[in-house]
Amino acid sequence: MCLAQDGDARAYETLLLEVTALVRRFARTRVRQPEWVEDIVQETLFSIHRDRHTYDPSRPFLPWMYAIARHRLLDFVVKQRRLEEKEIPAASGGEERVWEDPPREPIRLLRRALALLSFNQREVIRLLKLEGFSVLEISRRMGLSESSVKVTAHRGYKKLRALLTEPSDGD
Amino acid sequence: METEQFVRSLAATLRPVRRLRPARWRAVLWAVPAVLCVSIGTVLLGPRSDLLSRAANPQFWLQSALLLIVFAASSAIAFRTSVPGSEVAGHVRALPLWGLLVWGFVLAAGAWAWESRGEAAAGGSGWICVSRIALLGVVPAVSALLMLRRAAALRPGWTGSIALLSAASLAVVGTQMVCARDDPWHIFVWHFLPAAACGLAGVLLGRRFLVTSRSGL
Repeated sequence: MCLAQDGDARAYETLLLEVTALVRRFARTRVRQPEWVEDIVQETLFSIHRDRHTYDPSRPFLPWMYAIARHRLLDFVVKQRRLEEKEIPAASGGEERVWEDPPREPIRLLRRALALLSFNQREVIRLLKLEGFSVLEISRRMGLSESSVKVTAHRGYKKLRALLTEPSDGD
Repeated sequence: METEQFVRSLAATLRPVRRLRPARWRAVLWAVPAVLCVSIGTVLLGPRSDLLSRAANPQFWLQSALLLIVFAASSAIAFRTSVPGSEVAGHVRALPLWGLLVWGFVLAAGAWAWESRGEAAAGGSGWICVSRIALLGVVPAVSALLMLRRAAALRPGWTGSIALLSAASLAVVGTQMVCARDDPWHIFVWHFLPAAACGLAGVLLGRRFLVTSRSGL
């Protein structure tokens, strides 16, 4: 992890692959739904990636990693339970269910794609599209010029489009 | 996207990061300027004229010591809980709340003793004390949240609450040195309750402010 904090991509990939196996085993022993396991693993990997600056090399790695994994697992289970509670039985009384929220799969793909954007691109898109800030407000908030915000957003959209349209091996 | 592909994508976007300093250092880096800031604010607001004679009162010292313990404990705990894997046990996390409760108990006991002596509580509003607490606490509170935002609190509501409680308790120490009123009811309603309210507001602010920084999605 120390090497990863310094930018060593090869060491980081090796570490994440080892973490994947550990977290997969951790999640399998704690959730009954096998289809949730990979989601939890990916959520944990993303959190480790985003919060890697918080790892203190003077402390052991595993407690840090498992603390993140435990919380991501709990968050995920709570989120899934809430989604299940929002399911509305179809009026016809049939077995079909109508979702109040959009289907999960596209959201998951979008979140994965957003995770691969740079911090600035992700922040600009989040503030523009989710928080509803104007370009001027974002430029003040992030200390960028208005044109930089527009360019960052444009590049972010372009990268998102490429990531979302690239063929996937199936998930 | 398969997990292994996701791992490769994360590794491909890897950038060097600046490591967060250890929690104890960040706590000290926050606490020392916060104490300085509140001290300067207290001097600017004008300490009560009888502060020296008041300092001889054990009740005054007991309350100030309790508040400083709440301040120190909550700042240390807030910064520790902002780093995954360094979180403290539940009973340790609750220490600042116990400190606050003990302060409330001391005030209640003081109010009982005050009334049994037949002394009437001075009436009047204490909004000026609330504004003093807000004035003295705003910089430490905002700076604590900004510093915690750099970390990755796994319990953002709790971390926000403890951080604001820390800032509020320090601000109340300053306010106690400015406010000329000693009746325990005044201190309970206009010093203790606002500090407790800051702790509650910290839950909401933490969930809003400390999660937003981490979500990124």
